[in-house]
Amino acid sequence: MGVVITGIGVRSPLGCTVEECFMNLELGTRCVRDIENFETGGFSQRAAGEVRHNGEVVKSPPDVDRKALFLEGSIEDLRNKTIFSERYNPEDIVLNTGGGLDYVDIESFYKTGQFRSPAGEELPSHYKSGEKIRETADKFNIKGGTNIFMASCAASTQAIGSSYRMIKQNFKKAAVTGGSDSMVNHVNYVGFQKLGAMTADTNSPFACKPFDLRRSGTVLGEGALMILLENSSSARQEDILAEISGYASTMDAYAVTDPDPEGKSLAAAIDGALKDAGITSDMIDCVHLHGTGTPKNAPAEYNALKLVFGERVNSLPVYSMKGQIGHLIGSCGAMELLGAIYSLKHQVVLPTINFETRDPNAPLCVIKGEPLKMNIKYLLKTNSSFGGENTAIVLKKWERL
Amino acid sequence: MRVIYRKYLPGEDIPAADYFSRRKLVKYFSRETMAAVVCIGELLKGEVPSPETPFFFSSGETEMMDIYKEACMVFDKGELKFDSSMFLERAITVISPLSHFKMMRNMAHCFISIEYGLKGDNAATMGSVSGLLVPAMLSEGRGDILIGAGKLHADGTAEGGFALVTAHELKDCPMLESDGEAICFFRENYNI
Repeated sequence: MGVVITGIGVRSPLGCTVEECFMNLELGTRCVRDIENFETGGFSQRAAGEVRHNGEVVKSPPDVDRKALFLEGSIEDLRNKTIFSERYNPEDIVLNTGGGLDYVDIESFYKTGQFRSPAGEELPSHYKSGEKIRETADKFNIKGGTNIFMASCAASTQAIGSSYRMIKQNFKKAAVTGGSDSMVNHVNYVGFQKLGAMTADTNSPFACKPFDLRRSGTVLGEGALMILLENSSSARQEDILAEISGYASTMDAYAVTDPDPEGKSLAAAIDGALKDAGITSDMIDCVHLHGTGTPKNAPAEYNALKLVFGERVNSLPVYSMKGQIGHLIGSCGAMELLGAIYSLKHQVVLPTINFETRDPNAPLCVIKGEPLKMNIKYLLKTNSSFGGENTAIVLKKWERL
Repeated sequence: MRVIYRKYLPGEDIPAADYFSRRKLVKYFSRETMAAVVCIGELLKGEVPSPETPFFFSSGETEMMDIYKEACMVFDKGELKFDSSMFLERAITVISPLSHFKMMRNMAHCFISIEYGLKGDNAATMGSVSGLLVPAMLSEGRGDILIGAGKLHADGTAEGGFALVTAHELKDCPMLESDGEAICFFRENYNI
């Protein structure tokens, strides 16, 4: 038996259906543009990957918590596709999701004078992450627990990894898992910019350049991707998209803001996931990295891969989705599974959007121009958080029984 | 199973600096992180855990709105008009990296991992007892597992809790599937 992915619900800068997302991955559509959903007067940077459908930004009024909206939409699509609520008892399904910072409708918070309210008073413009996620679980009658993962950029892959363990160890029969996040609003966008990880490049579609010598920082994105994980023996065989065969998580314990430049803990996470999958590093065909576009990320990832793969690091194809859609923080790893599933389905490694010039300090084998056609049986997906959490997931092409 | 729990009332000093070697970093701590730092210090009492010790931490739902309130105060001229440029111009000093560190939900997990060199299996969660205990129970480790939780209430009351447990102990824990906030586990089970 294996733990398999049998459905996807998505709200992404690439689109709001899997077909639309795959089409834009194939076309290499640049989905990072200037922000449209809220007024950005006075902002020095306006780039973000906002959720789009048929090319148009999905707009919402300020009293809507976009990450809650996207979570609900993606689970609704997932339920309709997989009919999980008909196939499992509500108590057998768990909701494990990666989340992000609370949303505060700052305009309303200010205009209605809520900022003068005494401590403890319910504030209608404060949308509490946990509360919203629990409401969503109730709406879809998911009664097997609601667990929220908050390890920043590794939140959604910790959610998926924990779901994988719950099914593998027979603790639950099915998991609705992934992540939803949006920091594309006044307070969180500015707060993120102040942390110093955001690029100052204002040419939005080209601003985020993972692994490239010219990289100068990341850009924010938003969206949700939720998958259904099940035991392969109870899954409908025709629905199986890929198998998760290994997972591990480690911590750098190095610095809050920077990755360990030697990449030792990321390498340990990769080793752990390979061991869990029961395979050796030479069986990995390609790696979908975190690839943020920040100066410190690429050398740390290169060094981690070198520790695991040795000299093969120079020829092992790697990919990052962030140049195309931005950094989705609490949902980035989940969204990037879309690229992994695309790779396994079409047997290609996609080019990393905005990568042109190899960095001698991180000479990774990044694909540019055309997709690289190759046989892919095992794919490695890694993510690393602001704070030092690392995750590694081994995905396997599903061979129909 | 050794379990510690501490509660600090609004305005009460939390002696986090006494339990953290890089004292300069304490300015980045929320009161929740401070309480957690004290608790793990009291739990371990100078003992150094193995770097591979699995470490799971759950943060409480955000209740305290100080940063947002402060941001609004600085651009309040009594007109209650809002525009983006004005907001940025006046509130930018309040929305500093320092405040962002206090808002991020994995910061206690991160600072504690740095202080104690914890590099093993882990998760940073938010919310329920179950969300903390189940991932810990299913973790890779065979020996002790470090679990912790914090909660910052709207009035500034801060709670923290830490425990060294085993997967076997968690399997039999009556609170394993509880929807209550993670801090409840420590509030109800503390024994040191």
